[in-house]
Amino acid sequence: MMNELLSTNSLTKKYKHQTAVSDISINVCQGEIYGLVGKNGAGKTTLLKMIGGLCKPTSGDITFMGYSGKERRKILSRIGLLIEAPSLYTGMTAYDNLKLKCICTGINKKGYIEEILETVGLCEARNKKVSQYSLGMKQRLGIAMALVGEPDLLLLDEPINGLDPQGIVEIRNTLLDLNKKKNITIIISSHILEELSKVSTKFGFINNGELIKELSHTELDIACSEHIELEMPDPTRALPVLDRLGFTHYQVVDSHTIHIFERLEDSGHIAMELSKCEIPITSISVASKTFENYFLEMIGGVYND
Amino acid sequence: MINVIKMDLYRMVKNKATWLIFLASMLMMFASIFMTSQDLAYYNSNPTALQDLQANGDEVNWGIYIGSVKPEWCTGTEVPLMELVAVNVKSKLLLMFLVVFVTYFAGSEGRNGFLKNIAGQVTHKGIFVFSKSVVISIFAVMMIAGAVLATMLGSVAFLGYINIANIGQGCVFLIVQILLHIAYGMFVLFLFNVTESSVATMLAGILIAAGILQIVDAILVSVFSKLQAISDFSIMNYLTSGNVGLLSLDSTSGLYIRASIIAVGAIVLMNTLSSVIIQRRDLK
Repeated sequence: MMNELLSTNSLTKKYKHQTAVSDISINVCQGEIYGLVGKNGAGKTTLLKMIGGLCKPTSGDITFMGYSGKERRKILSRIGLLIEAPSLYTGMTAYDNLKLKCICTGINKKGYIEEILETVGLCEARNKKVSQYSLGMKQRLGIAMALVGEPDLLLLDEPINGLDPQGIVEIRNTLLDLNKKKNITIIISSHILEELSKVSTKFGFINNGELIKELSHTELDIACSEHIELEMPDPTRALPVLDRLGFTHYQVVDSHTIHIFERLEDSGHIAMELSKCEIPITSISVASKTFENYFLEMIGGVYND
Repeated sequence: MINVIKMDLYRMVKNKATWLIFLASMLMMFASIFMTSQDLAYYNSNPTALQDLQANGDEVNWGIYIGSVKPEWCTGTEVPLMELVAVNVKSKLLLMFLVVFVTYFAGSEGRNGFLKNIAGQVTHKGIFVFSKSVVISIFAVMMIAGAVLATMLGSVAFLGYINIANIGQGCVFLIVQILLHIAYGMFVLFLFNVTESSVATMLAGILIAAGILQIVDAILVSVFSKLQAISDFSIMNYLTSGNVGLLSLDSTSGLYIRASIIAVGAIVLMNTLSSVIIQRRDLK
């Protein structure tokens, strides 16, 4: 049983006439990598900002490490964040930027900054001015800034935005390392869904400020994997037939659809058996979904990549 | 809180802009002494010009200026160092550079959003304002101490002597001027917190230092006719920037007390208002 690290309860944020986040309740356990999926402007950044203490919720509350309300301010230092672009002094070196945060955090351990730079692979560029850094290096330094003080929770908002493929792989490996070796819980938002699926253990789908679905990685894999899609007016009538044929790995998706995740070559046999039992079917086919298609279907709109 | 102050001080020391602004202000002080030496030579060789200076010498100059000369310096005696320092501090040259520094220091943090990295380290965001006020205070002390040094060097280089006199009164003058400078720096920080724009802050800061608010005098006098009876009425008398230009070595103790009260009041007020603003505002 994993310990719950963070939970939000009916979190809402309104800006004058616009509701950026509406009634969102999520639970994140210790050691998870929680992927926030949503289009641009869906409310991912605002949600992360509220969790990180950068903006106040209009209503609802957040419980982090057992603290909620004003008490939560006391332990906000346990959260490291990279929201939107990395917030760095570009006229200073990577070392000095990290030094500033170390001073603020009260860390003066010798070699600490070098250790963090090593973690994100920037040790050799430590004395280079940030203005001379590539986008990927800035993102990695942004993550390094978030890591100062050994946070329990890391909030990363679109950390792979604008990176080249090599940069994306580097960031991905860094995050997986941090999660595995240091047991840091991560909430990461992105609209590059395939990439998010490579690191996250749990997903929250946000659209128009609302959480529309929460899934584990296994559940998402099942939902997107290749399967027999059986459409019929009354799926409950088909279930005894499927049981009799020895199918165990199937799911009634809605009032007209069953997904079967095994023996994909047996679709013809299934159709014949249902016909013999005079159970009408609308269609039967082998289908699969990409992560993006699944998301698109869920929000019923155009995906904005 | 101590850690946030240490962090801001580290940034202040590590930043080249800090030293460039400081150096530029010292060069301006140096240039001002040079101009004073040129003007002294001019007035000594032009009795008519000296008579004009003596006739207008008592008028308060609310603006920013360089190379001032007092009529009593043109009698052939050596110019006292503290008077030279006082005239140059009153000229608001240092105040102008302080505006640039505060705008740069607060603006660079505002532009890159660095506070997002450290917002979780404090329980009240007003600590960030207090920390800036410490930095502003240190920079103001540095500038005024540097101005004394630059004036000494300038005096030796351009006048050929240092006439050290009236040190006690000079120290009181400098302490009150430091308070006034800190207060004005805090006002500029408040402007930045309100506008969140470096350009607007710097423009307003320099214009107000240069006495733009004298325009309010004319409006007030036209609205309240009783004010016409007060011969030396000016809103500048009640502003920190006005008092920087008003205060002299030979000012009355009443003026010193009023200037000190205005300075301390402004420091407390601006700190409080800025803290309230930053605490209520979401970090971008």
